[in-house]
Amino acid sequence: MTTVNRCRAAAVVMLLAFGSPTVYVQENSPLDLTGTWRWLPYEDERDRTPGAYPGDYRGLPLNDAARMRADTYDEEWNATSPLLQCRPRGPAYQPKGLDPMRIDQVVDPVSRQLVALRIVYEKTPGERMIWLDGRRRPSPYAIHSWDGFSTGRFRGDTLEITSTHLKESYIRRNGVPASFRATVIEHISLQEPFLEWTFTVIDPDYLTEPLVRSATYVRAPALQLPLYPCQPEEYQPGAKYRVPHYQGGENPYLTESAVKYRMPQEGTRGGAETTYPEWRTKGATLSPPTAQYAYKPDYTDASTRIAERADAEPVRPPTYDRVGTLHVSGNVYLIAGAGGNITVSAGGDGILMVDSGAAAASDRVLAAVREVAQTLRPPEPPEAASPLSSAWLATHAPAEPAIRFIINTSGNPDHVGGNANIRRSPMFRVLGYRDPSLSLQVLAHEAVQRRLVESSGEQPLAPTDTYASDKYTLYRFFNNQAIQLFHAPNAVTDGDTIVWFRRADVIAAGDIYNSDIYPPIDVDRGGSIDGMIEALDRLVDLSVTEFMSQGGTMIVPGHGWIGDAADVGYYRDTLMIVRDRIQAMIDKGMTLAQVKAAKPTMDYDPLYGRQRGATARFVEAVFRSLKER
Amino acid sequence: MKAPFFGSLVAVAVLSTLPVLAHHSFGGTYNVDRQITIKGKIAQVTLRSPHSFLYVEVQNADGSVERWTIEGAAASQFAQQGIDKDAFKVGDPVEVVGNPSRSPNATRARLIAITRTTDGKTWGSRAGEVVN
Repeated sequence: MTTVNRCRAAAVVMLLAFGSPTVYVQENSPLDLTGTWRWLPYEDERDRTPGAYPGDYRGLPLNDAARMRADTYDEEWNATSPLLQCRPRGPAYQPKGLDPMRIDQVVDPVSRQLVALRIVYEKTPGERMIWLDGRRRPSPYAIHSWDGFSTGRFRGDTLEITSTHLKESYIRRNGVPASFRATVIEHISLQEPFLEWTFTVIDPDYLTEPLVRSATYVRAPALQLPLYPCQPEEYQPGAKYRVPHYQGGENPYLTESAVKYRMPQEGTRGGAETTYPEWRTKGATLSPPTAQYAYKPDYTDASTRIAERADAEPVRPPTYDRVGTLHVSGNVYLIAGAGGNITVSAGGDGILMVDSGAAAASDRVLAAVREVAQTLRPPEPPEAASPLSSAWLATHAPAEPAIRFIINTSGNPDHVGGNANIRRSPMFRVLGYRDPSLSLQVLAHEAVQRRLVESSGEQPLAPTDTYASDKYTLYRFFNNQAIQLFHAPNAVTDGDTIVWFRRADVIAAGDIYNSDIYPPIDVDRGGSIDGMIEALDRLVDLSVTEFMSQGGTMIVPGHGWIGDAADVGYYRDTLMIVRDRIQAMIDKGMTLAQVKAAKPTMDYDPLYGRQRGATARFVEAVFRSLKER
Repeated sequence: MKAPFFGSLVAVAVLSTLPVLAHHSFGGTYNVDRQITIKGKIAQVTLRSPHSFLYVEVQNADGSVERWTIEGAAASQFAQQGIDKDAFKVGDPVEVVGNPSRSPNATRARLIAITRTTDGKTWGSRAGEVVN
């Protein structure tokens, strides 16, 4: 190299080193979590492989409601239920599972900003998205999933994830529950090649303090996540579905872990006190059992009085100031907050409403119907000279929506209350004859009409049209889909209807399914616990989940958030357990007052008994319908 | 000081080869402290995730036939252990060693070892071999 060339080369190096234009690189993520990871096999072996012994609640800040759930739990339920066999682990347990995982970045192709992290575990139904773009949490009426809805943010070199909208799950594989109201906070940091995952469960229903646990993963670049085609097994083909569980005080295995670990039984019962170092002093004064014995638990803490606290709340008249709309699937929408949920089909044929909400909410319901109609995608302007003066204005100025008819799922006031107001509205323009009184207006099972007509003062709310068969198919497609009605005899009442939008695959369940309240079974109007369970069975049978007991058929409850077959299955199984408990009490000769005092629903009250009077009504209805069998 | 470290590596390596199973809790479903032996004929084999199943028809002393559900590993793990769709035929006489269900009278068990008695072929009975 000549001297000149050396000088040129040096100049180029200097330029590259010091003189190149400044490149501003925005740091999307302060740590690189991308790649494949596997769990460390020497960590939490009992959690990860064989599973905890029954009755082992060590280290868990449980309340008594959670203990009762777990004490009466039989793992055979999980092993045999078609809806539970493929149930994935949610964030409240996932890091204690066996799954290897892959983490990718999701980058906006236009802004090139990091939008989300995508986590795929071996045994999950899809991709868990950790949204980093500041998006809002979904509506309280949005569906819950196993992974929930997760948002993340970086705190220094730690990723913090917050997950809500979780399905009911578990925090230990021996029946210790995690509520659908739980929030999970995760903190992830890197110490290459290890990934430290701390996850905190905050559960207002079943924990008295946050539960903090951790797990460690190690990079596994060569690992490919295997396929996981989970297929539930029908253990006893043709056998009637049942929920294996123990009656209170009859689980023979509750002292097994104390004997095997040689620790005091009191310690295995968990509770916040046992998670602190001070417990060692107390525990040292207690003796472990030398052999298993029949342990009779006693439940006394605040979680046992949730129903009483709800009953003590003052009566508050309902307000309907938060009526909102939510897309469900296809051309089906939910109007929520107006009393009972309203399911709406919107399209070129007009509006079909399933239920009409409370009477006092009708103005807001009509505004919500208008809102739904305006969210419909306008037709494409013609690809030619428009015959209209302005194609945009023409396509974005939709006509006032036309409500064609209403279907009522029951005669309950918060489902039929708006019938008269909606029918009187100018938006109610029926399909059919010139004389609207000849056309289909409000359709329900004939028992609903009969009861409303017979009751004084409620006749304007009564359906104008009825069916009396087990199954009723609407005479024509509406908004390009078949609509079928199924009568659920003797469920909440004797006139309950399930409405199935077949193309959108949405089912309006009415009060047969409520996501967070006990069913309002009305024995005087023909309701019964057996009929409820049969109706829920039918809902499950009509539904198909997309994969691993999640998604697929969307089920709009009478109250609460959108569900799927797994949610309805949980609800049905809860009712089956409560039915068995109360039946056992009846078999022992207990009176209604004695049954109520025994609190047969205490462990489910945190989930379903937070409404004034709900628990007492439910227990009484179950008792009466079993006595009148 | 080196030996324990090497030993821990061996332990990790050994643990890493353990079957990746237990979607539901085997310890909660079955009594892992007890073993039972079932003799019967293969009625059905379903290889799948999360767990596979062998159904065995057992003839009781009174002539009645009971159908036992034998639960084992996921299909992919079974394949590594030599159990695939061709391993058994319907009607093969087998002897199954397993953990019984915790539920009294349940005709269910968790697979530990299985022998086809016509040719003595076994899975799970050799030292260190695991088929569950």
